[in-house]
Amino acid sequence: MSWMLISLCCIIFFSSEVKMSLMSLKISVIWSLFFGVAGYLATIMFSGMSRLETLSVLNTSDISTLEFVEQLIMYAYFFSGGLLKKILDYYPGLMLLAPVCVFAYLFVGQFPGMDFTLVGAMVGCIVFSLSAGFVVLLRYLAANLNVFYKTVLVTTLVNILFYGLL
Amino acid sequence: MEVVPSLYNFLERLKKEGYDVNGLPSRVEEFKRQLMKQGSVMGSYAPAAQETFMNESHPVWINKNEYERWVKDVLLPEKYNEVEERYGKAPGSLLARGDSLAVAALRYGNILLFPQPRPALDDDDFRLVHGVDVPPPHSYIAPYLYMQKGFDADALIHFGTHGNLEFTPSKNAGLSQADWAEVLIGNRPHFYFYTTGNVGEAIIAKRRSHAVIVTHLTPPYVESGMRKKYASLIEEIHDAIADPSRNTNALKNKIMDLGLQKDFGLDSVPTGTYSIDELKKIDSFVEELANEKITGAYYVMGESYSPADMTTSVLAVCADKQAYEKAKKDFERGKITKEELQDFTFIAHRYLPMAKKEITDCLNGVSHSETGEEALEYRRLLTESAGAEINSMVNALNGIPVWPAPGGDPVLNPNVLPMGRNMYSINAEATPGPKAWDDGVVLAEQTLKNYLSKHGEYPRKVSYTFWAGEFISSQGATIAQAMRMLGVEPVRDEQGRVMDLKLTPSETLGRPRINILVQVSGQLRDIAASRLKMLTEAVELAAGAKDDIYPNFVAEGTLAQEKELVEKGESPQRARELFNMRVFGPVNSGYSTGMLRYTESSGEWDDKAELVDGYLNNMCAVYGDDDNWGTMNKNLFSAAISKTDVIVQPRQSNTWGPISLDHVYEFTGALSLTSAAINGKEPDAVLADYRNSYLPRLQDTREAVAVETRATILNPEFIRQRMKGDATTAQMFGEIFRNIFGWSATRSSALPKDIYDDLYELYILDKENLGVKDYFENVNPVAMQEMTATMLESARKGFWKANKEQLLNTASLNAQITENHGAPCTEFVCGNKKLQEFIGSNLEGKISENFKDNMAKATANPAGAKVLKENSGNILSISDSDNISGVVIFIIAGCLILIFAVIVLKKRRRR
Repeated sequence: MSWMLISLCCIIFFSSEVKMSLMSLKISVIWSLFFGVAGYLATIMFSGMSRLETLSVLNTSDISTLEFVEQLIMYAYFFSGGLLKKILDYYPGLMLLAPVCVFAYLFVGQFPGMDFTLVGAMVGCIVFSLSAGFVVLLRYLAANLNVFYKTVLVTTLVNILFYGLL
Repeated sequence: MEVVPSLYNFLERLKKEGYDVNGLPSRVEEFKRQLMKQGSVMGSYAPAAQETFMNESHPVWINKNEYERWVKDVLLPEKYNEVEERYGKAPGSLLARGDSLAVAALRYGNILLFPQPRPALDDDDFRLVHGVDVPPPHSYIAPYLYMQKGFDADALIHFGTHGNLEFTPSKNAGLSQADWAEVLIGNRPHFYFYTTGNVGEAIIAKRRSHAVIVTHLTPPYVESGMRKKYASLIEEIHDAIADPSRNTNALKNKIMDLGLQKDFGLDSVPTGTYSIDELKKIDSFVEELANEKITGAYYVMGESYSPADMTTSVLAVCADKQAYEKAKKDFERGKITKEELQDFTFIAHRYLPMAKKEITDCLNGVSHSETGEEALEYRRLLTESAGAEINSMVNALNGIPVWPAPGGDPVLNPNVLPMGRNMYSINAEATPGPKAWDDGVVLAEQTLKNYLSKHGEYPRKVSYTFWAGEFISSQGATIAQAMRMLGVEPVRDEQGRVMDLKLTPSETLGRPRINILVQVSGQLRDIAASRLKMLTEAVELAAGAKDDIYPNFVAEGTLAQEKELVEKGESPQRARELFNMRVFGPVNSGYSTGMLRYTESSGEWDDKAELVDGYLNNMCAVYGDDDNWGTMNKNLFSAAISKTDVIVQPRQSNTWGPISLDHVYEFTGALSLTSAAINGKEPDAVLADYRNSYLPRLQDTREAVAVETRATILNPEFIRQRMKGDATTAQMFGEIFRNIFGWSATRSSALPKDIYDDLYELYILDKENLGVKDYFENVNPVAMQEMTATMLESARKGFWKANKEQLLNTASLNAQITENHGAPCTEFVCGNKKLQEFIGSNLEGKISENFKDNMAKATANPAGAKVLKENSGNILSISDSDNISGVVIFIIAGCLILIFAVIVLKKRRRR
């Protein structure tokens, strides 16, 4: 597990959380629940995969590329209007699945003897709590479109930098 | 069995029965000369020796076209394709010239004798005898096809224990045309002379080659001469124990003169005395030495034991039993305590001499008693056996059935007498039997008690070696030991079969549940598969035990095994499936660890880590449940070995010991070496000794080796007895030397200090004037070549710290034999260039040059042996620290981003 992958995931997580904090609380909680379920499923899936196989799925270069595409979508969100913007209002950035998967990966195999479903549920709960908690925190800190714009810019730059390094 | 005279006696008998044995020499010496010359077994390491053989030894030549015609008749095309893919087109590279293939053979009328060829070549040499998952080469197939098609034999007899046909790639039962043993024998009857002492492997011959076994006797049991040697010492020790004022410095010096202190790691300071406890230990050891049952020269079939050998053999069968029965009666009468009844030394002092005298008197007709009746009956059966073996085989050739019988060491199970019968196995489903369970419990608890008193804590993991012979003879006591360690008991059904298990409650057990590891031979796997699966269930049961009042090392070990597997790259789910697996054995349905060839091909390895790697590769097949049966998993095996504290090796026969049987170092030594490499400390190693059915006990490997070496290979009386034997007996010395080398390579702490110096004095300098050199020169010079070569290889590897004079004398003897008789050309010498150079470098002037020339002639263009190695593959090793650093990076990065966000947003708010 490289520092680049971890850093990239942190940035993706933050970027998506800012986006979610711009939505209504109900919607963002629903999305947090969705990512919690994704965390559970990722744990179950990774339980059947060796570390080598899991790491080949969590390829930093691929994540970086996909995240760049995601950022382009976010730029579209900034500079579009009408139906597209309305749709994208509810889109948190599905690349949040990457940090969720990495998080699941870190948990898998760490609890010998424990039922995998239980480990998955644990991961799901933590992901949900983290996601929802961050949304609440960011809303409390009054994160807005401007902050999101800057975040997207930084995320794009980091992506380009990491992709170049890789 | 002493092959040459036994075979000669058998042929003579066939002649009397009217078989055409035209050309059989009138003297056994001439027969031996012909056999040696025409019956060589060639390996690929000595092409020049092959050339000489083909030119001078009158082999049978088989033309390629004829060979291929036979192949078409007998083999499935896909089977022959396998051969061609591996060894190329016929006639192949071994014993081939032009379009023809040479088969070593001797023909006397309607009898064709051929030495069993090597079933694999080159890279596969390591796993030759006990199976290799590759097709046999043309040079192996050709003699069998010639026997079927060219010679058109009516019956096939494998002469002596044991060959390799039954270990060729094949199913374990229900053979078909796709199994080599089936097609190479064809549809003719197959008979097999087999020692009664090796029932485990005889069953494989029956299952995998349709053999009808005809048992033959073991070598006679003889007086070791040790009692005479140590008689006065035993007396003095007894006096000193009874009256401490007689524990003098003179006694200590006497013990030191005999070198006994080295076997116990006691001090060698010439002043002072040994403590009473130390004297008790020495007393017990010397008593053991004095009572050690040693075997004499190999048995010649058809010839009864000599009167002296007969008496000592009958004593071996009867005396212990009588002594224990007398002691038991005294216990019941309250004359002795339970501790005394269970004390081997006490029984040996007080009852054994009396029992021996009573039996001897009876055998000599001096007196008569019930005990004597039994002894006389055994003497009759032993005497009858000498003729019964050949009679039985002749009858079998005439279509008369061979009667069934149990197998095993006659000392432990006299019911195997008389010989000439067809051995059978046991019902594995009924194991462990009630007595086996009791024995297993005693030994398991004794293992823990010994470890606890030595180390002050319970062992976390105990490893067991399971062999078929021991399993059959002890009715599963080996498995009982492992179950008891786990704290699990068998549940029997109405027929006495063990079909279920139950937990022994923690409070009844009174100690932690101990984790186990089991390594099995292929023979055991084949005959007791259900028990291995049951053992896995036992592990699962023990690991899941709830509410234990003592620690559960099985559960801890299970979790640790899962964790380690995940770290080594296994998926967590797969790791979970495998976390109860504790039973491992040879890969590719093989039969042995493959470590014999591996270790002895010592020119090919420099570091013991290579042996560890080889062992892990060769023994990593899981035999735990149906889903994973035979699956190879090196990481799992390595994880299962980790934290092994004790290794237990069963011993159930007086016909072998840790030094005389190579399989002991192959299993216990290799496991010990691997465990030490993985854990950083050498585990304890003990033998679970069932030889005395009244008193099963544990013996430290070091002590067992010390007893055996002193009673046999370093015992002039033993050497004298064995020197009565012929070539096969002489070869045994070479095997023992190689086994000592094997122990040096795998667990040198098991060997007595200075063993090589002692061997040097006895065999190279002949300080006891036994005539060792003349014996080997006359009977089997190759054996002496191997013995000296083994010692020199030990010196080259640093196992023997030999001085210059020792090296010169040993190398000179080796060179002298090579000069007189040519290069051996056994694999140990001819396959090891580095050893040849080492020997050359320790010789002087012209002798050195001659030696090098002789070796060069024999080994021109040697193919050489190669070490079996697995591609290390693409398994990613992820350690704990990697995970921790990942989590740490994650948290640090998360915190930094959070701080960054808070700062930015705070600033915005202020604006």
